[in-house]
Amino acid sequence: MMKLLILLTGLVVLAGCGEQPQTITAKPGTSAAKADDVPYGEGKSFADRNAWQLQLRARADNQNEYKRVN
Amino acid sequence: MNRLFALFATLLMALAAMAALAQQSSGPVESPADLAKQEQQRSVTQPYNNAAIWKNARGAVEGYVSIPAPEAGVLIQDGGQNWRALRNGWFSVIGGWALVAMMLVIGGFYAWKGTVQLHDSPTGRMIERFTLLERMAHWGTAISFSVLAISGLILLFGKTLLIPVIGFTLFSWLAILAKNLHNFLGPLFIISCIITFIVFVRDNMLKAIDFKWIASFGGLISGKHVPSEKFNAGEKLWFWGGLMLLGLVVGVSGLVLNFPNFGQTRATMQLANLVHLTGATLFMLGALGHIYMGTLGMAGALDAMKTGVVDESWAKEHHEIWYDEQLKAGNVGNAGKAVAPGAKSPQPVAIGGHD
Amino acid sequence: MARMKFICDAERCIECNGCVTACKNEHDVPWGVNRRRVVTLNDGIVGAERSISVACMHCSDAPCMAVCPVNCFYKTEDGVVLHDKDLCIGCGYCFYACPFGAPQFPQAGAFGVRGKMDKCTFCAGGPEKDNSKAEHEKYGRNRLAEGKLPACAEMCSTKALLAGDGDVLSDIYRERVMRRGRGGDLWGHATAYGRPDAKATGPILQSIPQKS
Ligand code: SF4
Ligand code: SF4
Repeated sequence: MMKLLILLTGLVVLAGCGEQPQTITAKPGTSAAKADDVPYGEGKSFADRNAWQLQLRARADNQNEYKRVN
Repeated sequence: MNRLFALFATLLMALAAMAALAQQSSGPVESPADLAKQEQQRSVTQPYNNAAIWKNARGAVEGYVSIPAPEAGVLIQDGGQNWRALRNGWFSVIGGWALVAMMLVIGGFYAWKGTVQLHDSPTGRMIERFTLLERMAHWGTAISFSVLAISGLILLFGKTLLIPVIGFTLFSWLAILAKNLHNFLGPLFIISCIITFIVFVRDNMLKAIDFKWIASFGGLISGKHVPSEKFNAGEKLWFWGGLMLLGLVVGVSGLVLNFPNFGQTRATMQLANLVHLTGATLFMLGALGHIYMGTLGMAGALDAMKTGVVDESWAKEHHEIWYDEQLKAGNVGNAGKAVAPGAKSPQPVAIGGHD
Repeated sequence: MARMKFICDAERCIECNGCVTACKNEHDVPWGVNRRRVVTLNDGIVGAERSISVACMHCSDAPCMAVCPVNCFYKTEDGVVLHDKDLCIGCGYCFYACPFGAPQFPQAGAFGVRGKMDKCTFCAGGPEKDNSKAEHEKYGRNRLAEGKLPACAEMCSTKALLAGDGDVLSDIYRERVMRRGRGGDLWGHATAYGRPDAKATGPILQSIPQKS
């Protein structure tokens, strides 16, 4: 009985070796329960993803005041 | 047996050490005043070199912030990542498998020993073993414990085990229910633990006889009978180690987590969560054994806690010293007629209707 | 593919709290909830005072995601970490895990019972239909869907706070550092966006190689 218990405790401790990797590899663009809405496509403000990205890029670039002042 | 205790103690200490590790923030911490001085000099000699500013940015210093929330002035807290790694890793993996292993052990034990039956036939003379108050205290604790254990397990393992089966929305409802049950029953559980402690403490004092019981492992190995008092050493161990010690550990850490409105820091809550996890896992492991012995493992034990009375032979076989006392006090046969131990289930007593 | 990031330039932030105000106004954030805050280190010490505006950094390997018991977080294709308030149970675990103290909780009952978690959405709303009433009520305005960037960064008067695609931001910041001639500390980036070889206890600074 004693040996059995020690053996089991050992096994339990060993179980820690089955630890899962801690990195989150979420599939981008997937929501937990619902799909995320995207702002491009049929009837939306932007024709396609590329158009939307270009707009955001231009907007981000606008934050560079060196370009704006001169 | 002592070695086993040592092993468990080491295990417990290792867990505590890991929890403590989670609190440490990285790197040597220099005093904020020193660093400020360094930065002042640097702003002259090496402008734009802000290294001295960032040295303590990971939680060691709290800056000024106009928002009156606790810890709002902390830029980066390190403990969260460690807590995440420990909670999602070691603590839940070991705890989860320990519970599975315990169930397998109990299953194996049942297959090996079966239900321990009475050797002598019941005499029909009943002794009162638990008063109504004692039974109410026991079941109050037992029911709240079970709800807390199940809701806690849902919150810890549901993401892995239940979401793939029942989906996100349904599981979210279940988790909200589990969270609220856990949060509101927690304080109730603490209160019923205290009541149970007060009610049962007199019969759970450790005596020399208990060490004999432990040494022979309750007569399990030798098969030889070891007399015991109202509670045997195993039950006393569960009382002190489970109800009292683990109850205290789980209760205090639970209160820290349950009432976040006292300004406790995240480090405190991370530590409390790990302590809570450890305590709760050990508590559930013990409870599995306790529930097994009280139901499947031992004929008559559940009836004793349900009806409050036991048969003379049951008392003599399992708690001889207590039986002798009761015999001397003339209590044997005084208690109301109840079911014979080992019989199926008690017949429901018709209330009224007899004229 | 874009990777949305925040940069806060400690050399420029003047602790005006404009970003905090802009955020609260843009999203009608309730009392007690602050998606963004400005922290000042060495407050009042001449030459050593620096301010940083901090909110959710939209981490690559997000700790909040890892610990959420109902798995309500998700990442958009642009690296924005969002969450679904319909699923959130208000347990507070994301708040324990987050390095930046981003998750916020409206008090939803007696004894500090937490309501649904609220945090910076990078002005990208939630899983509901873009700029629908439901989305606006839960998460505030969805500027990204309108082709705009987060309000806090876009209105920052000193352009200390920058938001947008990481590549574009690096270019802007690199140009800045080059003009200054030295100093390329990017506060918080190693913690939020990590480096594959960086341990959890690694240095917090990620320096941009300096020309000159
Ligand atoms: S900053 Fe905090 S809330 Fe935002 S993604 Fe990282 S861990 Fe999550
Ligand atoms: S508070 Fe909500 S979002 Fe945060 S971990 Fe809990 S359920 Fe997930």
